[in-house]
Amino acid sequence: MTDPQASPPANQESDDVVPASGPGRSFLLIRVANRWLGIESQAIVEVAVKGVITRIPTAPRHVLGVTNLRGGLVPVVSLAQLMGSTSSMSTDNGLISPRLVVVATPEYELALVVHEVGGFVTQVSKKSDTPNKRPGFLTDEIVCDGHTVDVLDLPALTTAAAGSGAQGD
Amino acid sequence: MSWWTKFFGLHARLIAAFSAMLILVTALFAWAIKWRGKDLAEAALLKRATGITEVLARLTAPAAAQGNSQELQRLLLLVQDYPDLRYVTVLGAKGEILARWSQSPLRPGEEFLEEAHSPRVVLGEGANGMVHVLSPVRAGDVHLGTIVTGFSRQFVQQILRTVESTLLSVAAAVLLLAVLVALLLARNLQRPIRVVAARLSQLSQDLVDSARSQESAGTQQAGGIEQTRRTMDRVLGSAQQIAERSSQVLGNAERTVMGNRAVAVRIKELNGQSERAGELLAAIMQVADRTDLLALNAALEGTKAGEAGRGFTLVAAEMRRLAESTMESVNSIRQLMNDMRTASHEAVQAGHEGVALSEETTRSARDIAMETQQQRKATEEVGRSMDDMAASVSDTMTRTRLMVSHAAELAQAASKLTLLMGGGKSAPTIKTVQEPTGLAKEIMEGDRVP
Repeated sequence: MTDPQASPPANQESDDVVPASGPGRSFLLIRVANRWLGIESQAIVEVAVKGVITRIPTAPRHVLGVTNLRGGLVPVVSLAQLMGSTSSMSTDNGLISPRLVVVATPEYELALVVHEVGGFVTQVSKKSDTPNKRPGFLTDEIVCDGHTVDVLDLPALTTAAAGSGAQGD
Repeated sequence: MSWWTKFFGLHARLIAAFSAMLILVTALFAWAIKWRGKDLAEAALLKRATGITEVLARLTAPAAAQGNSQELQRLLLLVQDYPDLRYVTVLGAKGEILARWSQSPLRPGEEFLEEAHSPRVVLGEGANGMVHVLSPVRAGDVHLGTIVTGFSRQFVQQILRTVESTLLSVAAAVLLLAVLVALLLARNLQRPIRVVAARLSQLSQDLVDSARSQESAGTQQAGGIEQTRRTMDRVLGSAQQIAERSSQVLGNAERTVMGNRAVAVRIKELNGQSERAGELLAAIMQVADRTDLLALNAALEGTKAGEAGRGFTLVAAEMRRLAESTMESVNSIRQLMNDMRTASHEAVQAGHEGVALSEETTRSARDIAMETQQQRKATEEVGRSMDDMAASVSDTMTRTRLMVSHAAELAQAASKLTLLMGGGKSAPTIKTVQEPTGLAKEIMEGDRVP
């Protein structure tokens, strides 16, 4: 999934979505900057509107702060920053509110800032020759509707978000 | 010109007139001298005869008192030297002849013998009749007799003839002198008059030439004036049309201004309504956004639920499509509204520019109307000036013709004067100015081409 201007892969929920326990896993497609990624549906807590984010001093640059989601504080991580993208946070039109995809890891929850949420797809096949030039939290590549989409490895992402990374201002 | 004038010029006529005048004066003088001289000669003769007779009476008184005839005869010889004394007779107191003397023998009855007690003069009949003077001879109060003398009038006639011949000689001399004087005067008068006549003829010719030039210039000026009048009429017509068109433009521009202002107001109202529609669209967009979010979360929950949540997931997916469709429609509507807003803004701008242009057009139309009005007034003023100028030109040409006519008469008079001065060449005949034609005639007759 490298075409920056490509439209999101067609939503195959009506035909391809199957329960997680089924033979194929379900993924939620998200766009970060010009790149489409996939997050396994079982790890997603909810999709929320990006609200007020309170910055955390000395936090890494990709950690934008914390936000209040139903009374709980959830760290907000910028996937774009984490992936080294310089693209600013914006949606296609100025009307759709930025989304936060809240994912659950074994340690805690994270709110990932995404530019767009595509929809749910079911994994069709998995590519075997995955190149090693990607960040470490992108583990697998799946082929969806003829397009290759990187899959986020949430534990690795949690480690990357909590561990290394440039310090913020 | 009469044959008299042709053959006898002013020179001869001046001489004749002056000579005739002098001859007349001389004749009158001669006639006056003749009659006056006769009377004077008669008076002198009577006075002299009376004196001589009285002297003889006193001289002869003593001799008569003594009756001495010889003495009386001797005394009578004392007056024999008087050429006109024809006779002297001394009568006594009784009328007898005491002494007598005569220059030549007397014819019978020629001697006048009468007593006189007082001096008396008796004139003989005829021009050659003698003058008889009777004077009493007295010695104190005693009448002694009468002395009678007879004087001949031939001497008076001789004197009168002498006077007449003298007068004729004087008259002839005066006539000759008059002729000479008249000749000199005529020559002295003739030369300047000829010069003046020639100069007068030349001036008349120059005057006619000048009048012709003036007439030609007047004709050209009349043509120019008429051409200018026609041009002014065309300009006036154009100004009228411009005034009407500018009035129409003014009305249209004012209506355009009002229309543009109304359009601007309507567009402003439309913008306000568009803003309210945008707010409604924002609300719809927000609802669709939240619906999309809810549908997404519902699909997530359905997915987590596995096979049991499959239907729920499908419904959520449809809801999400609806929300996305709604958002797309809203986006399209917003895009359309943005386009409409842009178009209306441009329309407002264009309306403002149109209002400004219409106001500028209105001002220009008013200025044009005002300028046209002033132009029409100025054109009418020029037309009136052209009328005045045409009248002036007509009057000038009339006066020019009159002046030429007078100049021609003057030239003819100069020619006659030249002829009178000795039959020289007459001055050339001067033609009068030609009758005006064309535009000049129309102007002189007061006709105007509209």
